[in-house]
Amino acid sequence: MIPTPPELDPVIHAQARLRVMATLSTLGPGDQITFSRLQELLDMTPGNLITHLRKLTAAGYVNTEKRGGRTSTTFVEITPRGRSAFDHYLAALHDLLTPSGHVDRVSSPAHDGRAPHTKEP
Amino acid sequence: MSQSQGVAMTDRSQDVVSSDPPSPELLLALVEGQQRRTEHLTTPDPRVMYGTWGVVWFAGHLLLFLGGLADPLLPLSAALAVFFGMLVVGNAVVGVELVRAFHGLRGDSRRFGILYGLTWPIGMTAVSLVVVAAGAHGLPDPLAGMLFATLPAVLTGVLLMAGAALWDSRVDFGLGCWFAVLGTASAFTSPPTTNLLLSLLGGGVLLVAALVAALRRSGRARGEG
Repeated sequence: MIPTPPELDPVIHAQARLRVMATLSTLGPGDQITFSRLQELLDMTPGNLITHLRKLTAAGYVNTEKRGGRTSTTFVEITPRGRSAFDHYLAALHDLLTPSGHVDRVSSPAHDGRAPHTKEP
Repeated sequence: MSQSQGVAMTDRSQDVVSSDPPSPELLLALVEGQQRRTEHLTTPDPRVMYGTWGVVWFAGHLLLFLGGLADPLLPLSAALAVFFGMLVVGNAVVGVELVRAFHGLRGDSRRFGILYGLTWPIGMTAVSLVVVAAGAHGLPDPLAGMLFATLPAVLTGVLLMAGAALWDSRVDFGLGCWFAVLGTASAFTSPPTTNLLLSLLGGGVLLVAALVAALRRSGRARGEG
């Protein structure tokens, strides 16, 4: 019998959102970050980041909060649910890598073996 | 705190298709790389923190040693003036580094970091003023000089160990123990020997810590390259 691969959360399983979740989960519990600082850490365009934050917010993984008057600042934070989902996602990835794992690749019709693009300075 | 509302989810399968998901190894590497980048950019750089105080202690106490010799290489007042100038510059450099690390962040980590950061200049100023007061009460200059050098070393040790407990850092705890021992041991010497010990064994150790931090970071960068 072929074992079933562990399920990978589709909300997180996109490289851009995976990086957003990795960044937010690295901050301490309850810590918030401004939209512009998050953008700087991710090196993403504002439009791109807004799109991905909307998806993560809709899933309940991220909270956004506007503060201030005319020149308001948007603060972003990971929710406990988001942290838990991210931990599960990482656990599923680790499961895929264990010797008992049955697949060595995340199945996807669009898989073309390209390496992820990291921005480590 | 309000969660943004009214955001419609688009077709999730489309996201997965368009994201070109690579192997789990590469996804984990992506996560780890981003976590490391976030940690590096949102915490004070140990190369700057250790390096700045390493230079101040090493050069500052070396100048005090040279100015305190029986046949001084420079006037002691000039050495003291440069030392105080270096302390001011050191605080400014560290302040800028703290602002760089914490800007755009809000929450416990930033608050603890700022409070802990403020503890240093307040504590050092208080200890130094106590020694000045002791001098005003008639404490002889050699004794005041010894206390002026060693009490900040002991306080540095205590603050490093307290910070190590807050942020679970063995390196800082080890450094804190070293400074507590160094401050205590050098109190059994007299200036300018006290200053020479603090320069070489205090500033020198901080410079080594900065060098080790720099090597670790460049080693990681090479490992990712």
